[in-house]
Amino acid sequence: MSNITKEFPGVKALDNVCLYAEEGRVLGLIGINGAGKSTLMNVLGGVYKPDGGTIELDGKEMIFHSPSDAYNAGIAFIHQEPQYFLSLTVAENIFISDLYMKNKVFTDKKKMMEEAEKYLSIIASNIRPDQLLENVAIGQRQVIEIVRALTAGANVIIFDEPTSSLGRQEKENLFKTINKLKAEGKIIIYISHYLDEIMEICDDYIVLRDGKLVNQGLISETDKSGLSNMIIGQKLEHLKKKSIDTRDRETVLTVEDIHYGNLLHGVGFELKKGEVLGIWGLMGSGRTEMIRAMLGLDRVPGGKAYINENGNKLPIKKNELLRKVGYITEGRHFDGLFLSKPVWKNVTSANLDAYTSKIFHMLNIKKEYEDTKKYIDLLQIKVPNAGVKMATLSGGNQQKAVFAKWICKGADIFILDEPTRGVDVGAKLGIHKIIRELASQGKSVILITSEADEMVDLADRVLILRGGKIISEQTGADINQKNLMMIALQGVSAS
Amino acid sequence: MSSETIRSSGGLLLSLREDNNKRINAMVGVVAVIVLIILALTVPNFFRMQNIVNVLESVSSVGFYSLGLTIVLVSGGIDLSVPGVIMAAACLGGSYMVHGGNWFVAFLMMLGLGILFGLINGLAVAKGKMIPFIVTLSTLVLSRGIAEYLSAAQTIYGLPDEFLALDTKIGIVPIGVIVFIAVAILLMVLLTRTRLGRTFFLVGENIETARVSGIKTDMVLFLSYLISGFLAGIGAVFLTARLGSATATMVGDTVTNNTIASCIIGGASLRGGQGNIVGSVLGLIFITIVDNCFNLLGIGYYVGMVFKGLIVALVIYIDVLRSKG
Ligand SMILES: Nc1ncnc2c1ncn2[C@@H]1O[C@H](COP(=O)(O)OP(=O)(O)OP(=O)(O)O)[C@@H](O)[C@H]1O
Ligand SMILES: [Mg+2]
Repeated sequence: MSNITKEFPGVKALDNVCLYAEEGRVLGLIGINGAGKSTLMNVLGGVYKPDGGTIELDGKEMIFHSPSDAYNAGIAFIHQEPQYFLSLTVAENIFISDLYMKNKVFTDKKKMMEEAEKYLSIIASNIRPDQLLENVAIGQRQVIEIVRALTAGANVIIFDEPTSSLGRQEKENLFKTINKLKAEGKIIIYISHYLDEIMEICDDYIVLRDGKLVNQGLISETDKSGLSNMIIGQKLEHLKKKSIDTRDRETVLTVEDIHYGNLLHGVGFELKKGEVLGIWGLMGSGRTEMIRAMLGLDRVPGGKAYINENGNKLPIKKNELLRKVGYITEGRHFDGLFLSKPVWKNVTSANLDAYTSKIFHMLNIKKEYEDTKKYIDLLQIKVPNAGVKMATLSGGNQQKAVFAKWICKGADIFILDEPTRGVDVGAKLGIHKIIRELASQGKSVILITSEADEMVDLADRVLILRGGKIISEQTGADINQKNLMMIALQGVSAS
Repeated sequence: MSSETIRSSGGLLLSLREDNNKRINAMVGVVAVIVLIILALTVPNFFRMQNIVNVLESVSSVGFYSLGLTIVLVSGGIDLSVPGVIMAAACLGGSYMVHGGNWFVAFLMMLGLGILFGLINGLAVAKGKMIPFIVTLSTLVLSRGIAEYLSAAQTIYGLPDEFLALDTKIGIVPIGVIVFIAVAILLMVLLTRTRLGRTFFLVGENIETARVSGIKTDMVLFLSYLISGFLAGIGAVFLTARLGSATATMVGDTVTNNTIASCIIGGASLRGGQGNIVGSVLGLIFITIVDNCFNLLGIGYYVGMVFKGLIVALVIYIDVLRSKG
């Protein structure tokens, strides 16, 4: 790709970017949120037409008018925010663009299931091809995109943050697969904010910032901190781990006896004032479901909740609890954002009461807009202005907007399910600082994350979910990577 | 669904769709103006005062439907029951009055029946989690049945003068038109400036996000149907007063199509989260003028219906284009 330029209203997303990828190598594409990574890949994938520049594949100049042009040229694209058909099966979703046909009219269901099974088992064997997509955990749905790309037999495969939703095992499987594809001489482009992954899987890297290529080189000639310096343009400070013993503090929320299908068998916990309580477990251990059941978001009977008010333990209805907490959900497109509404309407959407007048319930739109600007500055959300549509923000910036929405609401209890998914290294540190700050202000935070680093850095206390029960509680120095992994995988602690 | 749609990501698709929507909306506006100019130049008597008043009147009597429907569409639903509810309310009030009932009590009964149907639709959709299309189709049949029963399939006429006075004109503008304009302005403020209005949009766009954001989604859905039902009651009052009678056929078969089409022309979408009152009213005026020109040109009822059917199909296609981007 040479001299690619792409402009959106108010943003120059790509400015004369040249990218050269070789067969049999993995190219890491890195940069801060809004740098232009996804846009560049969308140009290669035929989703956007560039304003300038050319694409060459095997020495031939290509012009893609649509994603199917790119697809037919052998380019497969695993999107950051894929779209699915919830009421179709996993297999149908995988083969949606070329269904196996028995004849002109009927699809060959059996063949489809077999093929899907074959590829699914490579990455995530717990997903069955005949399962309806709506029954696949939101976090795992990206596997379908990956499998779709594998079955297409493409020569160029683009991964846009593929692991942000994968568990440990799936991630290892994916890396094995990538190495195999590499050995077969495919071109692989890999976008991620996890520098460990970039170090592990990539051969070359290029760094984008503000739509410009600012750096490139061989992975073997740099290290993690080198990469992060190039990404944010300065040295990244490290947040010192500082976990506090909160076990004797006042309890603000008690949850008991949550059941969720055959996933959770009577879990419960106490949340203390001013603590970060981590919920740790493997992907699919029911972390998210525990929260959803507690808040009454799914039609499951599960559990009772009590809230502490002036020293009294009072039962609270689930929908009241839902309105009391700040809840960052794991799927920003599913239940986090209003994509076709402007940024400011998103940021204030959980806190409308604060902008509503007593008489006639009129909204103070000017104040909504002004406040949103404050949060945009605080979280450094990259937008031309607060009035642009949420859908035009880059993935990481959308995530920051979800965070802004809940900071704007303010609450005594925050529930954060993968709060930094897709956020760049610098911004992640910023969010970590805010989470710490919330706790030190006396707010209580429930933190769910798949990243051991994040858990170790932030949590004061960690509950570990395994086999539908909370099997262990860890505090202080016991909250470390090795221990967390051991207990989640085997049920016993490392020491 | 084409393979492109699948392979491009959700967020992207939406953003493209939004850019595209502006273009499509602008195009719809331009085409509408061109059609109107052509009609104005070719149709005799287009500019006669009486003709304009005719257009205004028919806009206002069934126009309350398009106001209510805008709210329901914005919050992600649909209300097909309104024509039936208008007729049931009209026949209820009408038969009460011809049996000697007080006109004001009849007036309240008509509003009340509208509200009752809004309540039923709202409860079924919000609490019963039933599909709006099916719910309101059922209440359409139900309310039509009530209208037939109350009127015994006859025309109810001989309404008291006090009631018919609701059709008085102030200057050349009937009271119904004035009320329509007032209600339209109120709803416009409601939709764009108030908390409830905002929640209609948010619930219509993404009910999951709205729920997690602490919005009482059931209440919001319920209120949208309640408003629509109430407006059906008001529509019944002014339509009955203007016609001077009530029957179980007083709202034509094409009203539903026309109204849905007018809202979509005005920017609403069958997928929810979009729409505005001004657009819907302009859309309605447009559709009514086209309708009126069919009459002026002497195109027969059935041929006119074929044309209107085509227009609606075209409009729905515009909505599909909007969603595809
Ligand atoms: N459809 C669009 N309309 C307007 N602006 C857009 C659109 N798509 C992207 N942008 C803007 O282009 C810039 C680059 O976005 P892009 O999605 O490529 O970032 P990214 O590097 O992938 O970031 P992230 O790490 O957050 O995913 C951002 O400022 C974004 O707001
Ligand atoms: Mg991106």
